[in-house]
Amino acid sequence: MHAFLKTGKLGAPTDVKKPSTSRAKDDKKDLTPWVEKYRPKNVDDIVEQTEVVNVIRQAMKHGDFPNMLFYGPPGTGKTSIIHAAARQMFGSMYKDRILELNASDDRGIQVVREKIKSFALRKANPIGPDGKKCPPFKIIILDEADSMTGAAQTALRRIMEKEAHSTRFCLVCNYLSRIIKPIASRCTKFRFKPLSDEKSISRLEYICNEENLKADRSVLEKIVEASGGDLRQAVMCLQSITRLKGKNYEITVDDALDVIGLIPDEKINALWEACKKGNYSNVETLLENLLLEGYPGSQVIEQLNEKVIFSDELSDKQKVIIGDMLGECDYKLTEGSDEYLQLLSIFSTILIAWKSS
Amino acid sequence: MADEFPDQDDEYDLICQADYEALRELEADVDFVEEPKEKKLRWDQPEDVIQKILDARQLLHEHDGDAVKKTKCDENKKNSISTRVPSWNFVAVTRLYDSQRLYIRVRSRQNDIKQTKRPITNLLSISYNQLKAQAQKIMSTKNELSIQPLSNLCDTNNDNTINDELWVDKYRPRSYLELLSDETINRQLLYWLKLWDKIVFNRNIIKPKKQLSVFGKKKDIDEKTDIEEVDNRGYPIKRIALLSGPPGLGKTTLAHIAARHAGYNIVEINASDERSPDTFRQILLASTEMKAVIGADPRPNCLIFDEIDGAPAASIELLLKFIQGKLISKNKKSKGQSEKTSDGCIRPVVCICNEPYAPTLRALRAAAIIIPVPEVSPLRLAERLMEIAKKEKLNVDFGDLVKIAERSGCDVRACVGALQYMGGANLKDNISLGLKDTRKNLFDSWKSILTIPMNKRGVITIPERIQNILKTVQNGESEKLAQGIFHNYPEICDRKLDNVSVSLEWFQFYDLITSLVTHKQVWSLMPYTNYGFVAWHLHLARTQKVKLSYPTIISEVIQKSAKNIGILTAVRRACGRDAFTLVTDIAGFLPALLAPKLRIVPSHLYSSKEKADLVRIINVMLDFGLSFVQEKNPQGGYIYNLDPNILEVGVLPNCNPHRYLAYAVQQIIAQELEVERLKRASILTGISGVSLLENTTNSGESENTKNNKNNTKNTKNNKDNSSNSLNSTKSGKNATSLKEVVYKDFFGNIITNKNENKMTNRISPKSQKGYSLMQNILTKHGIWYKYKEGCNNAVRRSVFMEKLL
Amino acid sequence: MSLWVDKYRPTTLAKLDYHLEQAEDLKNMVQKRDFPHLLVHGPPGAGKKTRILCILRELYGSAAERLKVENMQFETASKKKLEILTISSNYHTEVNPSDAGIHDRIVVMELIKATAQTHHIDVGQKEFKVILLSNVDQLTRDAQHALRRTMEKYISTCRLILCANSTSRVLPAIRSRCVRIRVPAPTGSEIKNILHSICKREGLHLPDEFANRVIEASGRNLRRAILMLEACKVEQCPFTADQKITEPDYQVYIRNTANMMVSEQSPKVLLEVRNRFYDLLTRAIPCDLIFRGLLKECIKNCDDQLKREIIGIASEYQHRMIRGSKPIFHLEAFAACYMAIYKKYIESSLEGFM
Repeated sequence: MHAFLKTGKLGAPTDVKKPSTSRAKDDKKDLTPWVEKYRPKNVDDIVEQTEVVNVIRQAMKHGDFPNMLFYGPPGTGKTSIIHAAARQMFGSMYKDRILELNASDDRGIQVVREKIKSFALRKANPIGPDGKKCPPFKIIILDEADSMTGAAQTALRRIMEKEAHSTRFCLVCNYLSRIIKPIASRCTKFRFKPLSDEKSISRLEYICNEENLKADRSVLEKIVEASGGDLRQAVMCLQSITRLKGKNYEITVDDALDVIGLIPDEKINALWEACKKGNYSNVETLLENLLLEGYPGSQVIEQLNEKVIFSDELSDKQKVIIGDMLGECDYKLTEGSDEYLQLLSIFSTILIAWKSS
Repeated sequence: MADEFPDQDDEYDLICQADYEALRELEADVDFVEEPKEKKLRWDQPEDVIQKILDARQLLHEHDGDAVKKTKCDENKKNSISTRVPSWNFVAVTRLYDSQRLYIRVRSRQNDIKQTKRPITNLLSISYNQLKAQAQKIMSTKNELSIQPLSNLCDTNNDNTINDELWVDKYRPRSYLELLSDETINRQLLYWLKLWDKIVFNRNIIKPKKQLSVFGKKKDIDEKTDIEEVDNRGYPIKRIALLSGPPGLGKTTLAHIAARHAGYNIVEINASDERSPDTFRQILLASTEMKAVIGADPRPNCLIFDEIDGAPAASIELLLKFIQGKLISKNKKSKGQSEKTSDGCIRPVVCICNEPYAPTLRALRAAAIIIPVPEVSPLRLAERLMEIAKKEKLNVDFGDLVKIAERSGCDVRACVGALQYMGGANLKDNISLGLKDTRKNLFDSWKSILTIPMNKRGVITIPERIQNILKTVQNGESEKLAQGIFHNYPEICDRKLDNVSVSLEWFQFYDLITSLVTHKQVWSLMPYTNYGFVAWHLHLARTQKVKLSYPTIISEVIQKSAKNIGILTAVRRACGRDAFTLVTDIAGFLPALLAPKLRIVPSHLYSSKEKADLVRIINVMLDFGLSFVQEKNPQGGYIYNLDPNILEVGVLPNCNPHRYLAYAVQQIIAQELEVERLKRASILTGISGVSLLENTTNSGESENTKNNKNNTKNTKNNKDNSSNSLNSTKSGKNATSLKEVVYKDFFGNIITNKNENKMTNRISPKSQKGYSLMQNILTKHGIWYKYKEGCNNAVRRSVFMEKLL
Repeated sequence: MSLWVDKYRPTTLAKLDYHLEQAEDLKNMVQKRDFPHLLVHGPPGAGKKTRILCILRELYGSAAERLKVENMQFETASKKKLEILTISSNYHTEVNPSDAGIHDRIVVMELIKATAQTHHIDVGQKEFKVILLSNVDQLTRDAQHALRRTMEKYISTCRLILCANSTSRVLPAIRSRCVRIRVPAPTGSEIKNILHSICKREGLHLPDEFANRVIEASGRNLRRAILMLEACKVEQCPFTADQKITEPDYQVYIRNTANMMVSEQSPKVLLEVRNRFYDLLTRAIPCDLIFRGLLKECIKNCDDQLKREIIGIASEYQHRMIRGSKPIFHLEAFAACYMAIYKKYIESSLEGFM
């Protein structure tokens, strides 16, 4: 089991409440991303998701698990929870009782029929090899389930029913709409909310202490705000800063913004003003420069969105028009459209909207 | 006479009984009449020939009603009859009942004998004597037959009632004259088959003389411009004939009869035979290289491949190889024989397909003469149907038959089948015989979409038009249809750009739907593609006739793209950059970078600046893996082209003015390139040679590190020598360094790699290109040598006279 | 080695000419033991590849510069064989997965698995190998999903450096697993400094005015600026202030096409324009560059309302082009729509005169 720890992969559960960061294992530990290092190792460590945690606790007590479907924005603890629960329940038999398939594995219909089916058909012994009692079922974790094809999901549902006595499924996804209805109806759905700022900040502070970082609370606030409820991103950001700047370094707000990739407010404001004035060529040049700076278009849209919604200078009607345009262009950007064209389209809409007011 | 083309007169059917009699009368008296020695050929007047054939047919029909005339089994009689004054010896007679003047050929008995001895390699399948005998037999039975108004055509089966045979087979044409297809096409095929005479029968082919007429009328005789090509060894240039056309026209029948007529034995392979490449190969080889030793038919084989558009692509490639003679039977492949190419197959091959533009047949199309078999005219088909009906004692109305013929799209098979199974009287009611899923020709579909249909009352209503369009589109390939419309619309649409703009939006829609269908397999969206055609019709159609062209540009574009991508990949491989930067940044500037201003003088006369330019351009070219390749341009002169030709990618017409290097300069550069390339390769091989010796037992890692050390060591050496060698390259004279090599080699001694130390540039392991090749050469031979024409690198020694004496 | 672009490319982080603080940070990062996955993004010609190569050199020393080009074979599930060009040294592999088209997922996974599962024996170097993926924003969704899990699994033996033009198309999940390094395009003055230093090393004199013109024509794309300079040098050297600057052909071509569309609007012109589009497309010019170039020229003479309309159309059609498979349809649709609108606009403005 300790060998498991040393490889630096997902750490095995320990009984200690604090995640172990003994200095002796520093070498290897340094390689693990903090996201993995500080991933909650048992259910009690989970931040925030009270509903789910309760259900799981009950399940562990009674040894009965439903089929579960976790969905919600990224970085909210879905995968962590199920792994933690599984480890707590099965202990050493973890490998035998858990089958995890995620998006990097092949999950076509063929695999569903062979691998999953054969795993599901195995018998689950209620007594473990070390004599301890353990739940008499197996768990199949399907991570990133929204990228499974519809056909594969359809093949899955029958297996879910038939093997319900010995196998439980746990699906994790970001968007519930990507899961076909029959499967969604066979599972209990749990929505994972974005984490509250407070809890996230406290967690970040904890990590800072562990890693000997100096960070002002306001900086941490900014980081959490910028990650938008995604704890993973916040931790990642922290780690990136450390990597770039070195330890024993006081993290400033600018560093944080830089790493997260937020566009400095001045630039957005400059564009905003140019639109207000109605000078088209100015807008064009500013936009070009903005893109040449390397800022991603989707980021521009997000920040613009904030600005537009909370702006007092625009009438509601104008906001509607602009908001509509923003949504469309965001969609087109994710499909892979050219950034310059889409952003230009947005800004010219804003220009016109200003003009018409 | 045996060597000539068979007389066209031979193809005449003996027509009527009276003629027979007349002939018999004449036969007795013509011993003394001599046959002219030389026959004038009529092969060069196909018009006449065709006319005569048609006449003959007509006569045939005139005297129909009597099955006697349809002596299918009796082939053309040797005795010839003509309705016009012929050129051979003739006797004129007048036919009794209609006063038609007939000219009957006169032959001496000797010729008859000759004819019987003639080898069976002419148009007739049965010899003259047999024919005559048959004719007499028929005439004798005619009396009996006159009692029975109808009788069977085929002499094999007299039993009408329990006859299971399909009428399609029963009434299949057995002779050349009975073919329903267009006479020109028959001629074409026959002509092509005759081209093989030289090879197969060792007979000379007589080409039609081009008729120069005063009035220029005969210019259109020579439609068969394709066929007259025979290459210098006597093989026809187009070695396959490809008959194409919709099903049921008579292609297979035509091929069989023509081949038999030309004197071949037929080997047929069709879709019901196995056509996997192996079996195919066996059949191909067997049929041409082997011949039945014991067999009734000592005739050469002619291969007929029926339904070839269904054959696997591998088989078709095999066929192509076979024709070019590159196919060898598997057990014959021994050393030294593997690449031997013979002259090609020595037998004609006829292929039959439905769709000549099928993708599998693309390669075949280039090597074949394509004979599109047109549709039979409805009238003619109806006539034939009428005959069959009469023979089968069916009572049908001619008008109905014409209708059937038209409906089925002049598909003979379908009509005869309909006739057989529908019966006579019911025919009229059953006129709704299953309308075939006819594939309208692409051009027809385009025309119907792009013209506003009118009927007698004016423009047809819009809902009707929409229905018509949908019907048209459903049967065809929507992809090709859409492409055709896209290609053709700008020339015919009106000047209102709004319509154009809206139609183009529909094109976008069409593209999106088809992409979704093909990429994500969302098949439920497929029906929506048809509505694009409706929109295009409503927006783009005009009332006047439209001139349409096939969108060949699509395939050109695809080819060009593929070529350019190939060029880009080749350059990428050499320089290691990704395609995007290559195309957008580098390729645009390369034309300018590769054209320094160099004077057209020998390279050693360059100024230092020019020398620097030369070095630079050579380095650039080597980095990108470019080289100069000498090619002949259309005017016959030589030009140098870049290979891979990145200029094609970078240069667009009418943009920046580009300067190109002069030919002489290119020559210099090409030479220098070679030198440089070899030098670089020798550097690499030198190093690897050394390190290989040292590190054979070490693991991969340490070998690499040692390699690195060697590299660094050598670079140090290089830098010392670099100035030397730089000078030598810059001066362009390799003579100094080469001279020693030349010297020794001249006397046959092999040099060690002295050239290794003469490194010029920083080692760039990127130039992998000549690496392995050079390694082989260098390790094998150890030296490289280039002889410069015109340079006196010759060895100078003083020779004493005593040596010579 | 030969082109100035390559000859004067900085090989170590210390020799970088601009974005110096970033260079410092990168150096720090390399020297520490936990080297993360990187996502380097920025406009073309900003120096992303240069910096990545410098990082590699910093990590592995000069051994990373010894490159060889090879073809790697992959087999898809449908038994189709793919050949992908890779450039590798002993310690890293560079590959462009979008060469494989829709099978890029397999390329990515196989490559990473293969690289990650071979451990380095050489003790002196780092324990991980580096895989460099270019044009990550053109990866398909499947490939990106596959990537993100593999990134986590094999982090101990292999690090990924992803290179992209923009991160909009990269999954947030991947973005969160990497450290993002934004490489902005160099400013005009930075480019000028570099050009001057190159000229100095080549022994040429660079007049200021000429340099400004080059910088403007290059659009803050350093690679293009240097290539332009070199091409001008081949043309005429020493430089004069008003020397002609060569632009890549396709830009001129697109401009001319747009001018054709502006000057006359009719189906005849549409046909000519279509042939020009075919010329561009066969030369593998990316379609969005064509759109951008056209748009720039086309809206020059329009008022704001019209501009808005045309830009809207351009963005919509470009988006459709991405989703479809025949760019020519969409390009021509844009040309026709533009011509229709423009014609109406001209006619209405002329009517206003009368």
